Amino acid sequence: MLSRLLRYLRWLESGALVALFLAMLGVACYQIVIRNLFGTGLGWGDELVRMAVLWITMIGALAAIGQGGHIRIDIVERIANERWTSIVSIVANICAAVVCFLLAYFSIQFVVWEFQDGLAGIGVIPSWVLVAIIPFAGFAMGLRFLIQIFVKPQ
Amino acid sequence: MIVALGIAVVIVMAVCGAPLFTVILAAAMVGFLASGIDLVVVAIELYRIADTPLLVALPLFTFAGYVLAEANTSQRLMDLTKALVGWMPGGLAIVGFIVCALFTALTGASGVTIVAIGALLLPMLVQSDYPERFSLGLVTSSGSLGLLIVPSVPLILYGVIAQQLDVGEAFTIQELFLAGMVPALLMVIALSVWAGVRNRHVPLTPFDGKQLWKAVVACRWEIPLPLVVLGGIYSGFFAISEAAAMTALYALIVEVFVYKEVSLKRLPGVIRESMIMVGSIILILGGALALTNYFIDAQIPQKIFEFINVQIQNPLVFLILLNIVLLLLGAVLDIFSAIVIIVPLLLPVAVGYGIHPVHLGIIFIANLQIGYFTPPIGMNLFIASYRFKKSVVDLYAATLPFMAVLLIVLLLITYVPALSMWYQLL
Repeated sequence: MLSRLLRYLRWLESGALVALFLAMLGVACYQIVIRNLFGTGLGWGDELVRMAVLWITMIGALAAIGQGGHIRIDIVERIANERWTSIVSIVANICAAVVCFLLAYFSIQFVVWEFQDGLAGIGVIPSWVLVAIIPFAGFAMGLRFLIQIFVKPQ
Repeated sequence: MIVALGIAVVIVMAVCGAPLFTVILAAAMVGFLASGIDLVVVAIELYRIADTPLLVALPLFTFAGYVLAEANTSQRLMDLTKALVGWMPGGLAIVGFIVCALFTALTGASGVTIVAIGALLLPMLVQSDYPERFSLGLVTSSGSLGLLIVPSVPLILYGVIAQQLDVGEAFTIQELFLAGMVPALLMVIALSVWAGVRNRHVPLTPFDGKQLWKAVVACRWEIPLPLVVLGGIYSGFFAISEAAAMTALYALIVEVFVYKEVSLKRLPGVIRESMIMVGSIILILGGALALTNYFIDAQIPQKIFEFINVQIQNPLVFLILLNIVLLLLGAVLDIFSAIVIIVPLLLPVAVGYGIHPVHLGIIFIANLQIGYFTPPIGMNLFIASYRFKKSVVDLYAATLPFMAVLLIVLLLITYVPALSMWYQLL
C-alpha cells in the first residue's frame, strides 16, 4: 500500500520536474530568439523562468529525499555499527521532518500576505499561488522524512 | 537557555546526518528566534531563490553536463585530446588532466568524473606502461580538477553568495570566470610537466594527423559547445543564464537527435536526476541565504574579524592560516556546503585584510579542490576506492605527489594575486 503510494508519488515528482524543466528551457530559449530577432520579449517570460527555478528546487529536494540524494554529513555511518546507524538515522529523520513542518507553518503566513496584496504573478496566475509551493513542499518533505523512518532510501 | 538548546539541536542534527539543508534552516531559525525576529522571514529568504536571475544558470548547465555524461562524449573527448597532445612526454597523463578538468567544469565534482572518465582512463594508462600507483593517483586527484573552469557550479555559487554579501570591491560573475582560467591552466601545466618527468620511461607515440582528423570529425558536433558557453558569455551577446539555456538546448539536440546516444525514453530520467541534484544544492543555498542574513544582522563576521585581527595583523600570515583551515575543511565538508556556510563568515574577514573578493573565491575553490582528496576523508578518495576496488590507504599514497604539485600551485595562486586578477588589465 505504502510502496504503491510512493511509486505514484515518484511519477508525479518526475512528471512535474520534467514539465518544469522543459517549460523553463523552452521559454528561456524562445526569449533569446525573439529578443535578438525582433527586440521584443514575453512580458511574463523571465518571471516564469525564475519561478521555475523555485519550483524545481522545492520539488527536486522533495524527490531527493526518497532516493537518499541529499548532501549530508555521514560520519556516523562510516564509524559506527549498524544498530547505532539506524538509531541515528531515526533521530536525523525526525529532526529533519520537524524543520520542514516549521518551514511549512511559517511560510503559510507569507502566502497569506501575498494573497492579501493581490499581486499578479505569471499572466493570470496570482503571485500567492506561485509562492504556495514553499509551504506545500515543506509539508510534503516533512511527511517524506517521517516515511523514511520506515522505508529506506533506494 | 532556549538558544543554547537550539544550538545543541542543530549540532545533533548535523552529526546524526540530517540533510544539510535542514541543518542550515534549523540554524537560521534558531538565530532569528534568538534575535526575536518572526520566523516567516525564513520563507521570505527562501523566496529569493526565485529572485536571483543568476540561479537560472544552475539547472540549465547541470542538465547539459548530465546529458553529456550520459552520452559517449567522454570517449570522444578522450580520443580528441589523445590525438592532440598524446605525442608529448607523459602524453596520456596530460590527456587525463585535460579531459578530467573539462568534464568536471561541466558536471561539477560530484564524483561523475572519476566514475565516467576514470574508468576509461585507468586501464589505458596502465596498458601504456604508466605505473599503477601513478595512474590511480591521477584518476583520483583529477576528479576535482577543473572546478575553476567555466561554467563550474561552485564558481557560480560563490558568485551568488559573495554578491549577496556585498562587501569589498564589486565584481561581475564574468570576471570571476575569467579569474579562474589562469590558475586552472597553471594547475594542468604543472601536473603535466611533473607527469612528463616522472614517466620518462614511457615510450613516446608519434603525432598522427589522420588520427586527429578522425577524432575531430567524430567530435564535430560537440566542439562548438565551448564556443557557445564562452563566446556567449564574453561577447556580451548572452547573459549567463541565456548562455546556460543555449548550452542546455544545444547539448540536448546534439546528444538526443544528432548522435542519438541518449534516447527520448531516457531523457526524463536524465532530467529527473539532474534536477534532483540541482534542487538539493539550491535549497541549501536558499537556507544559507537566510543564515547569511542572520550572520550580517548579528554582525558575526565583524566579531570574527575583530577577534582574529587582534592575533594576526599580517595579511600573509592570515592567508597561510586560511589555506590550512580550508584544506582541512575541504576534507570533511563537500564543496557546496563549504561555500554556502564558510564564505559568508570568511569573506568579510578576508576583505578586512585587503583581499579582493574574486581572489578569495579562487583561493577558496582551489583549496577545496585539493581537499577533495585530502586524507583521511576527502570524498574522492572514497569514490575512487569504491570504483577501482583499491584500499583507501593505497589511494592516500598514490595521490600524495599530485597533492604536492597542486599545493605548490595553490601557494602561487594565493601569494600572487595577479594570477587571478589579470583580467583587470584587460
